[in-house]
Amino acid sequence: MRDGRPDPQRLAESVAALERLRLEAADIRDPRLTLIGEIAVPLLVDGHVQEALEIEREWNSLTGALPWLGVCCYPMSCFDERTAPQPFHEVCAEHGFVSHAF
Amino acid sequence: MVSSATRFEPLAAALQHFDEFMTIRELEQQLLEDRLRLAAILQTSTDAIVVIDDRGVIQSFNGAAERMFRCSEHDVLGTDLERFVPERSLGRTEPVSSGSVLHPDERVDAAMEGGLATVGEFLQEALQNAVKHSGSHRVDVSLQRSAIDVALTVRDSGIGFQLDEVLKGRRGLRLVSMKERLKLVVGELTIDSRPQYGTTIRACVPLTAASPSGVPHASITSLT
Repeated sequence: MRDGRPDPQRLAESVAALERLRLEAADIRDPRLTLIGEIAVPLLVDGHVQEALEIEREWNSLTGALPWLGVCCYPMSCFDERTAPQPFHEVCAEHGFVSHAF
Repeated sequence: MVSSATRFEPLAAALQHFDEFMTIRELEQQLLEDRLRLAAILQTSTDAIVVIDDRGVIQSFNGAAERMFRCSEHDVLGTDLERFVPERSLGRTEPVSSGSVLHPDERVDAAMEGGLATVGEFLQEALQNAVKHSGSHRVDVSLQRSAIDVALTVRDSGIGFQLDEVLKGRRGLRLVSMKERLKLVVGELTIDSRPQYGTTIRACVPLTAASPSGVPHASITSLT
């Protein structure tokens, strides 16, 4: 994020740096990385649905071939089925598995 | 006249409150146990697991992440995930893959040749150091290339060292010498080591002849 907007370049830099460290983990065999976060949530809360989706797509593009697992935590309050059902389905479509946390 | 049923109403209400209180206590205990169980699973997972909040601030960092990123949970909690992104790379790198090498057909200018020769010297020096001092049975070497530079990393999982202490001794002179050689090709030497956490030494050399400012620079940096 830069100035509250998605920054693909910065995201790519972060992924590259973390991937480099992952590969250099000499004492772990086939190291895998799981990142659990809610980076896109503020965008969705503020109604910037396309920007949130952009981050999700960029993330998938950057890490899809890597042994990474990204877990995104979206509060259900982000999605109001009565007023805006579309974002829920679009966000879900960017994920391999969707689960209600509790 | 007060009936016996009416007389026992406060007692019945108190008992009900007590029951509810005990139920809440049991639920709290169960929640605590669930949290501890989850924390134990996270901690013992062989996957490095990092939890960040909506601002990218690290909230949780398990044991495998500590080993992968070579820093303790205590050191990183509450800090930005971007702490792992080298400052010099911001705005200039692209994802790289392990073991990527320069293609023989690619054009190599004189400055770059000098840089690569220095990286070769660095490799020899770093491997000697690892074998001689680390006590590790395994040393990993990776060569990575981005659009702007070549980075050679030598990493061991040995005994590690305190950089400031080592810099005072004879071994420190060799590190300074390594830094000076890299300086000639506008390179950068990064040392990440601390006792019991092994050592990672990285030499990074730009693929262009000069730094953006035109002034050669190099630094020894401890990441810990």
